[in-house]
Amino acid sequence: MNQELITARGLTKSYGTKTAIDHIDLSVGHGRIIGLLGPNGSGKTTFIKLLCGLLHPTSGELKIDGHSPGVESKAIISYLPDRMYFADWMRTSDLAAFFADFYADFDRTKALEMFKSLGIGQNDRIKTMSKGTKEKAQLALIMSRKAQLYLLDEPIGGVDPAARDFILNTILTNYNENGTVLLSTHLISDIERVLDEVIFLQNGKVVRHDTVDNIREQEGKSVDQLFREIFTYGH
Amino acid sequence: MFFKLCKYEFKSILRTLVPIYLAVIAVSFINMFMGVGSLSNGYYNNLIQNISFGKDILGLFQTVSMFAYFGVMVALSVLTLIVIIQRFYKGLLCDEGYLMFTLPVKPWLLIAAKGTTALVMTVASGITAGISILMLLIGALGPVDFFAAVASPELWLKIGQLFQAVPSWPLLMLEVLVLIIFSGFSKLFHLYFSMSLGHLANRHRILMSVVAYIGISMVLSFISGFFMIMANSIPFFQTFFNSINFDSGISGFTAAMHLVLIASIVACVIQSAIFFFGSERILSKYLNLE
Repeated sequence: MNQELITARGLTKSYGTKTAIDHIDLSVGHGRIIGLLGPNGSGKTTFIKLLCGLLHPTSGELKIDGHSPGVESKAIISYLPDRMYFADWMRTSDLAAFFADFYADFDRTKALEMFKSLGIGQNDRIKTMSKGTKEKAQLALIMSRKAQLYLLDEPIGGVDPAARDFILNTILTNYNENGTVLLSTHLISDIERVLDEVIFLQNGKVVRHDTVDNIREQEGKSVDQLFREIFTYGH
Repeated sequence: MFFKLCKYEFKSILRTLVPIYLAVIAVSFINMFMGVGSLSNGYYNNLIQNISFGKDILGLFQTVSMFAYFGVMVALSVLTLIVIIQRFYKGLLCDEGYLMFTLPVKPWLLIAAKGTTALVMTVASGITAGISILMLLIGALGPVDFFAAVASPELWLKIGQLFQAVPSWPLLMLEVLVLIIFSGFSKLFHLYFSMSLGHLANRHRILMSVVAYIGISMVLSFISGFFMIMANSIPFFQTFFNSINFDSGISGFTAAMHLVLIASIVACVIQSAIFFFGSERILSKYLNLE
């Protein structure tokens, strides 16, 4: 196991002339829960996609547990995208079978238990699920892996506050102890209590990367307040 | 991993294609007795001669089942093509791509699994069409005549004679088989490569894929035309072709067949390889899901 789970050096991603990630230098350790925070268009999703290998850096270096994004890194990353990524004809049981086939660290029993407690039947088709249920089903699968790195892109974006608490508890009680959870959101007040660290992104740059305790001690304010200051005064 | 990928690919393709296969067989079965297959024989003449409008009714049945037959046959070919295109476009370049490209497998395996599954399903559609035509043939000849013809020693004697005249027939058959496989792959990977190229555009990706497909086809026609001209005018090729003995009946014909088949196989393998690695490079290095 490498000392650092994620290391980025001069990481840059541009789409044509637009730079989405601008020379990011960053390192993230094991066993942390980290909030990737920033306004819309700050590069959160791009950064996550670079980590899970859906995008390739324009320049710079990115390592996950010592590997460049590829088969080795994908095997240890559990990724929740900001959309439904299963074909809609699949049933819950198909989804579990699919994950069991491709991910060695997937715990099928755990996934089925989570489906049960969420009230999702084994024969339910994705097509018939509501948007919130789909998100919950997908999260249950993602969190049933014993991954090193969980990348959750807006995991609480589309659900009601009660479901939000449920999802956060699911994340907290199910993630691998040695693993790191990196979750992006702009609903900071909801998740602040669970975070160890925060990374503030603005225009593709890391404007602050610190532990939540440090922020509270040094700034004397909550992450939510700090976020509002950084991003409101900045514009 | 390759077989697991194929397994899911088959699962999702079969959902669409099996119903149409069943429909083709069902409509062919009806036509065996009522429509295309039975037009020429007088099955129902005895049955209907005493009913005044019997012939009209029978004619109506035949027309309707014939239309249904051509309908399902068109649906079979169109649906096979659409499903193959969709499985690549929606399965890799849209939302499902988020799932497939975060699996711990190399992109070339994803393309290979899609290609293999698509080829098998194309063959399956072809076999379904073949079975359907056979059923119509049985209907047209009448089952008794058909099986008598198939079982007749004369037919098998003729086939035996043909095989004897062409001693290299196992090789020819093998060449045809290999050609079918690789020409299938070259056409499938042509589609995949066009979609991968279209995916590089920031907007109008479907339109750009169509443009890419047409562009590649034009380049292919140009290259094959260019080779024809070369073959006709370069002395080396002329002496090469003259050295082959085309004039001595069936053996000359066989030699020519071997040559044509092998040349086609080589052309298809080269095309398949270029399209496959082109798609692989694009999806590995320039993947940009929206």
